[in-house]
Order: sequence, then structure tokens, then C-alpha cells
Amino acid sequence: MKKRFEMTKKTGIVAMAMLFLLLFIPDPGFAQLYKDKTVTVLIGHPAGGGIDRMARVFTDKLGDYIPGNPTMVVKTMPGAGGYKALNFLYAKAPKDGTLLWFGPVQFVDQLIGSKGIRFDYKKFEPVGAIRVPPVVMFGRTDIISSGFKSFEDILKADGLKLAGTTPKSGIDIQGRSALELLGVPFQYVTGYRGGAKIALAVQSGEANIAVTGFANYSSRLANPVKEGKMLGMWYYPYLDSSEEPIKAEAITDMPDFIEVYRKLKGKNPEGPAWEALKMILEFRSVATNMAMMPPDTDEAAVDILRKGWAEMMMSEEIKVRQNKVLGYTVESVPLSVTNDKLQSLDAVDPKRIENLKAYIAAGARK
Amino acid sequence: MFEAFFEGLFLVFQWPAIGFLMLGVVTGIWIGAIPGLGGIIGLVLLLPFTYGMEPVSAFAMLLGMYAVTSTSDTIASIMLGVPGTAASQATILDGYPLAQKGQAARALGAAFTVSAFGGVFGAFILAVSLPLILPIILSFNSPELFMLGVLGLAMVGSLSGGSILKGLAVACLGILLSTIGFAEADAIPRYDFDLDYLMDNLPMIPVVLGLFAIPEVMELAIRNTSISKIPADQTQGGGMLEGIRDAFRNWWLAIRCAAFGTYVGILPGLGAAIVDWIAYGHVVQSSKDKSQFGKGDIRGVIAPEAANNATKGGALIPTVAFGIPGSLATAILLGALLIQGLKPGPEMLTTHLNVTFSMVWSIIIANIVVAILLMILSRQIAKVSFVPGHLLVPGVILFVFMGAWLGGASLGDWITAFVMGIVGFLMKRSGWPRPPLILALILGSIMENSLQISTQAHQGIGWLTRPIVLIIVAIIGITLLFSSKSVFRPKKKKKTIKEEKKTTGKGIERSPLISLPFSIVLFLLFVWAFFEAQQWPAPVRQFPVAAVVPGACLTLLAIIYDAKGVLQSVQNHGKLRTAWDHISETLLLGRAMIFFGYLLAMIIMMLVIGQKLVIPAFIVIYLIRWGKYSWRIAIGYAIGGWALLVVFYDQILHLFWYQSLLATWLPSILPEWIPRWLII
Repeated sequence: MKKRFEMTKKTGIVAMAMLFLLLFIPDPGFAQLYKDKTVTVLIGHPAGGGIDRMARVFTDKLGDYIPGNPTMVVKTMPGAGGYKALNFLYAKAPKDGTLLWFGPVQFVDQLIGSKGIRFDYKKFEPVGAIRVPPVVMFGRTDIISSGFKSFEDILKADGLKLAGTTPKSGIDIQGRSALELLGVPFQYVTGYRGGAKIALAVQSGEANIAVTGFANYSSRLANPVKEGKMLGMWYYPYLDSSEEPIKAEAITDMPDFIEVYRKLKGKNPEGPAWEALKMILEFRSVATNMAMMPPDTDEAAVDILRKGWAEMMMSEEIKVRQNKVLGYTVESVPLSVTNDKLQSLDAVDPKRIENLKAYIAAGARK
Repeated sequence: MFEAFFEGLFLVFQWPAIGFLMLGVVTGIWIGAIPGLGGIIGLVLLLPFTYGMEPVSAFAMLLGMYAVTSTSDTIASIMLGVPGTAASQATILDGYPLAQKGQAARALGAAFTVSAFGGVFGAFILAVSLPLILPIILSFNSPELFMLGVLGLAMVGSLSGGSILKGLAVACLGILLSTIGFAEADAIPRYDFDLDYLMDNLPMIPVVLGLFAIPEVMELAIRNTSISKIPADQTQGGGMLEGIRDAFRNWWLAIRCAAFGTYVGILPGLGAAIVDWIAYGHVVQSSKDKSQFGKGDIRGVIAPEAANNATKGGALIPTVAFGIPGSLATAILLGALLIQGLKPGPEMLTTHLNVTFSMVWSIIIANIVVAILLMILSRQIAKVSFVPGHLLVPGVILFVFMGAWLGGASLGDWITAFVMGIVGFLMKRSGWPRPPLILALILGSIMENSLQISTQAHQGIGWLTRPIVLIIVAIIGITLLFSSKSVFRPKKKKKTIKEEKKTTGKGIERSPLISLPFSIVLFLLFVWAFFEAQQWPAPVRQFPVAAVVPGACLTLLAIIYDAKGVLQSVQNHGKLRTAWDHISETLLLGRAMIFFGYLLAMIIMMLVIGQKLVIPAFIVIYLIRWGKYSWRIAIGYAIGGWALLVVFYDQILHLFWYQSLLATWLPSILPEWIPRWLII
């Protein structure tokens, strides 16, 4: 019995010692893979813009959460609305784990077969997925003579001019479909190059209503809203798995569109405009922005970056940094959720795709 | 307000803000002087460093750099005939001819003086006219911007160097080129040949560098001369002090152009891009004696340089005060503002007014400091114009092709620069003016965009009756009247060809034998573009068709005009072959073709070994085979070029390089201890 105890004690001491030693032995795969390496962060949009700013917020810190602490270098490759960088990532980027892409994901563009896409979202190696706060419908308060005070007033509005970028933009589809669903007549004015130009057009009165990102709304339009010249009418909610709207934490001063519709029409939205809108919301709900690596990237490298990304997103410092630079914090989406949706891209009902295409075509000038 | 004004000054002079301001100024001198870089790249480069800085220091550095690029960009424009940045494109029209006359120091002196004045003027005027800015911006909607574009095009007459017919045809070509890529009205790409590269608009930098820089560099190569046609010891006058005196003599012109720059600069999406051309057009139209414009008139340097610096202040204030960026550069500054936790808006004019004024002061101080620094250096800079051409060519080629690469990091950028180089060469040799092409290329997409929005938002042509539109229409009318007066005025006695060649190196270089085939090709291009456009829906084809129909008509007239010139030439020389041989010999066409062969070989070799090796190889081969320099000089020069590529373009700018054949297999056999970025 004593001998047996001695044996157990010895085994225990050896096991403890081995465990202790293990703590000090660097993991050759993890620590060495990125030691003294540089990870290039590829961005498909112009330097200094919103995407670039967001990318730098995350990727500048990511290196601290990766064993070996690689240097992170941001490089921009703007062109073709971001497709150029994604085409590069898909076909030409190195697969040794030294290249990471970050930017907005537009799964719907792939579904409708937009010209210039030579990649397949399903094949990339996702590293992280996030959701920015939802987009917002805003307008001038003078669109009705008594002053626009609440979303109910939208039904009284006459002579609406909805400013947009292009009929195939997800933001424009959200704007058009909402007004069509509510049965409010409007004129669709396209061609504005980005959120700043749209905000300016509404401010100057060339247009009087538009949809914009929350960042644009909360920074550039904050003062006209405060002065009562403009108003945020509703936001476009993300949808949960049962297609119900998810309350946005960042937006507390306006309702979501589905709530608006139900209150004004007393039923759930339906029809082609709703199908188009739902498709946009559905895909935006699983990710608005992602960090991805080229297809077939070294598995060990993808794992390391995924873990690093997840750890970084839970840290307090990244939240503080987001608040300071972006003015809001993003939501992390579990990669499994995003990945499931991505893998089901081919299974989307062709009728829904045709409906969306037809809806986009209807928005184009004749 | 006054308290905040002086507090802003005090903040800038505090340590470390003043140190960062000076750092920004030095960076800006370098960034502005290198063709193809410019303020936007400088801002991108410095932006990440500002994350941990406090606002005044961060903006002192960013604005110190940004404000001075449109002063230092003058160096390349005047010394090499290569626009340092987009803001100094018009400066080359008279700046480079002055350098060719051995008067580079004079041109630099005048340019630096009015640049400093323009920068300070713009900042002050904006600071005092803050209350007016928002109403001005809000009253310029799409119809007004479209009409301003038309006004810009009305300047073509002044930029055509006496050939309005060809100037207008070239402007149509510029508009046609501006329609390449996705249409404004719908997601339909036009003239894209199914190439990703052509899905966006044609990038400006490779076009400008190809059109202007390559023909001038080739001139140095095939004639083996220095930039100055007159030796250093034979130059008369033309010193820096004379340039400063020129600036003071033309004080009223400088004020007018600085005012243009300031107020046009605040208009989002239009101002900074065309203000130097508008200023140049203005000085040509408002001058009684126009004979020396394009041949080295100092007023042609003063006008654009006073205007382009003034835009910087003009574009900043609406960005800060209203969150309305006037250009891509100010959009980046807006990003910097948000990074600092500052929100654009009334707070910047109340709570943070001292910070806003510190920005104004940063621009003012930077403009003054850079003018003094560059004036001290200008005597040395001017010596470049007397350096043998062969020693300049490889360095300029490096900057031109790397500048083009910065446009989109695509092989297409090099091909565009090369093709535009050939086009620029042919245009220069055949009397087709190049500036209208650039002006129309800049304005084309802005005009199409504004027109599309105007017709949608203001129901058809209802926007034509808006008051500001009517005022601009009146100004366009006056501008066209001035242009037509100069066309129909009886021509003064022409200078002899010999006289012209002596002073500017031009004159005989313009041959109808080259112009005729160019006109025919251009005509065929317009016809093809017309039929190609027919497959698109009406809103997509309207704008290109509106350019190619007049373009084809004008080119047809040019063909008739050129055919007459060819007949005259054949009569003079007896037969066509003799005439062609004569012009070929005079213009050194054979050597020009060989030079283009060198460039083409460089591009092809780039596919195999990448830029970091091909450019040094070009330097060695050019200097030894063409320049007849020793191996020692060639190798030393090439190592310098390679170091610049590796240190500056790779390690500082973090460019994406072309994935050459070498880059696909070399990493696997290269020892671990050799950093890949040294070679590929």
C-alpha cells in the first residue's frame, strides 16, 4: 500500500513537473508561425475613408493578440467598388497566412451576378465577422408644411425626393422598398457619390429624404438633427433566425422599420418590395463587415488569426478604441452563423434572386 | 473670437506641436516634389501616426504636410515639365518653357512667392468669412456644379495654344475618356473591353504623367540636351529675385487668382481639381499681350500657383465646420478629426474654436516656412536645368512609372502611362494641344454626374432657370466672347520657325505629316465610340454620344486642314517620301521609336522580374547604351534607384508590387535570412 502510494506520489510529481515544464515550452507552431512576420491587411476602399478607419481600429491591435506579435501593415487596393481587392484575394494573394482582407461584405452582389465579381465568398477563409449599427432613414423636417415630427407623418408627405447612389446599392434598395411598402409616392434621384454627398443633397434641399449609415447620421447629421432641421425616421433592423427584428442598442431615438410598418399598416409587410428588402436585411444580419483570408490558406494560420480576432473583440481596449475613433461599437457575429449563411449561398431560391434583380432593374433610369 | 484666434497661434507654437508642424513641412516638401505622390498620399502616410497624438499636434503635422505640397510640387512642374501633383498641372505650360530658357530660378521665385501668398490669403479669407460658407456650399447644387464644369470647358479656347479647332476636338476626346467605366446612370460599364482595370474611370495620374512627362523626358533623351536650351553662363537675368519682383509686379493677378482658389476650393467635388486650369485660363483671357503664353510667360506661373495654394484653406473650413469635405484629401482630414474624437459642426466654431484657428495658423505658418526654405534652396534646385539630360532621364522615368503605379497598383497603370506617352508625343509633334484633354477628363465625370442628378432632381431642364446657373451662363458667354475675339483677331506677323525654335525648342516640331494620321485615328475612334454606345440605354449613352458627335465633326475639319498642310509640305519637298524623310530626320522620329522600345521592354521585363529589379536594370542599360556613361556611374545610379524603391516605396509607402514570374518561385529557394522585400 505504502509502495503503491510512493509510486502514485512519484508519478504525480513527474506529471506536475512535466505540466510545469510545458508552460515554459513555446508552442512551436503557434509562436513561430508569426514571429518576426508581417501580416498585410488588404482594404479594397480608399485610404482615409470609413472602411479604412474601421480596418485600422481592429487590425492595428490584432497583432497584440497573435502569438509571435506580427507587424500588421494596412495596404489599400481600391477599385471597382471593392471587387478589385476581393478578386486579388481570391486568385493572386499568398496563402501562407501573411494576408488578411478586411471590409464590407456584399453577398447579394454575388447572388445577382454583378459584373466584375471574379470571386466566390464561400471559398474564402473567414477570420471574423461583425455587424455595424443599422442604417437609418432620415429626412428634412420641412417635407410636410406642419413640420415632420414623428414617423406617422411620412404618410402625409408629398413631393419626396429620395437621394441614392445606384439602384443596385443595398442602401438604396432599403430606401425605395420602405417607401413603396408604405405607399408613399416619391421620386428616386440616383448618382450621389457616397454618404457625404447624400447628406449634403438633403441638407441643401436638392433631395429631401435618404438612407445612410449610422456613422454618417450620428456625426455629419448630428447638428441639423439637433437644430430640428432633420429627423431620423426609422432604422432598418437586423433579423434573427425567425426573421423577427432585433432591437439596435446603438439607436434609441427612433423605431425600426418593421415596427413602423406594423403600426401604420396593421399587418406584416409582404410583396416583391418586402422580399427585396428582406433579402438585403437577411444577409446584412449575418455580417456587414468581415476579416477573411485567401481560399486554401494554411489552416494553422487561419486558426491562429481566428483565435486572435475573437480574443481581441472581447477585450475592453478595442471597445474603448471603437468608441473613440468610430463613435460606436460593433457587434461580433459568431463565425458559425456567418459561415452557415455563406455556405447556403448556392441554395438561395432562384425566384428570390430574380425578384431582387427585377426590383433593381425597376429602379434604373429609363 | 480674437482670443481664440491668438490662442490658436499660441497652441501651434507650443512644443511639441511646432515640432510636428515642421516635420509635416519637411515631409510635404518631399512628397510634393516627387511626381505622382501629392497631399493625399502624404495624409495617408501620416494618418496612422496621429492616433496617439493630441489634436493640435496631429493637425499641425497633417496640415503642415498637406499645405506645402502644392508649393513644392512646382519644382517638378517647372524643372522637368512633369506635374508634381494634380494641383500644378497648369504650371508646366509656362514654367517649363521658362526653365528651357534658363530662367528656372525666376519661375521658382515667382511661384514660391505667390504660393505663400495664396496659402496665407486663402486661410485668412476663410477664417473671416466663416458665416458665409455654409450658404455658399448649400446654394451650389448639382446644376450649379454642372455649369461650373461647362465654364471650365469654356477655358479650352485659352488652353489650345492658338488651335481652337483641335483644342475642342481634344476636349471631346477627354470627355470620351472620362466615360470609361461604370456609367453614372446604371451599373453598366462603358468601353471597358471586359477588363477590371477599365471598370473604374481612367485614373488621372498615369494619364497626366504619360501625356506630359514622357514626351518631355524623351526630348531630353533623344536630343541629349539639358533642360535649359541656353548654357548656364549665357543666361541673362532670370534669377530668383526677379521672380519675386514679378510676383509683386503682378499683385492684382495674384489676389484675383487666390480669391478664385479660395472660393472655388470650398465647392465639394470640383474646386481643387480644376482651379489651376481656371486660373490659367483667366490670366490668358484677361491679358492684352497673349503672345508669350505657352512659351514662358511668368504670368502663366503666377496665376495657377496663387490659386492652387489658396484652395487648401478653402477646402478645410467647410470640412471642419460642417463635415462637408471638398476633396478626397479633406475627406481624410475629416477622418483624422473623428479619430481625435472631435466632431465637425458648430462646436468647432465655439467650444473648439481655438483648435480650428490652430489649424488655420498651421496652414499659414507652413506656407510661409516652405516658401522661405524653398527660396533658400531654389538656386541649387535651378541648377538641375543645366544637368545633362541623360543623367535626368532614368531618375524621372523611375518617378513617372512609380507615380503611375500609385494610381491603382495595376499593370494597367503602366500601360496607360506608356500609351498616353505615345499619344502625348504625337500631339506635341503635330500641334494638338494637350491641356484641354486633361481639363475635359477631370470635368467629364463630374459634369455627367451633375447633369444626371440635375435632370432627375429638377425635372428635365427646369434647373436651367436657377439664378446662380443663369449667372454662370452669363460668365460662360463672356468667356466665349473673349475666346472668339482672339480667334477672329487678324493674326500678327508670325515669328519665323527658326526664331521660335531658338527660344522654346518648339516650332518646327509641329508637322501636318504627323497630325494627319493622328486626326484620322481620332476620327475613327469617335465613330467607333458612337456605334459602341448604341447598345446602352439612353441615360448611359447620352453623355458619350454628346462628346463623340461634335468630336467627330471637329476632327473631320482637322483632317481637311491637315490634308492641306500635307499637300503644302509635299509641294515644298517635291514628293511625299522626301517630305516624310525630312520631317522624320528633323524630329528624330527614329530615336523616339527606340526610346519607346526601351520603355516597352521595361514593361515586358517587369512581368518577369518585377519593378524592384527592372527599374534599376533600365537605369543601367540606359546610361551605358544610350548615355555612354561608365559602368561605375550606371551601377551607382541603379543602386540609388533600387534603394529608393525598397526604402521609400516599399517600407514607407507599403505599396503592392506587381506579382512577377520571379515572385512566384523565388521565395521558395531564397534563404530565410534574406528579406523578400529587398527583391520582389
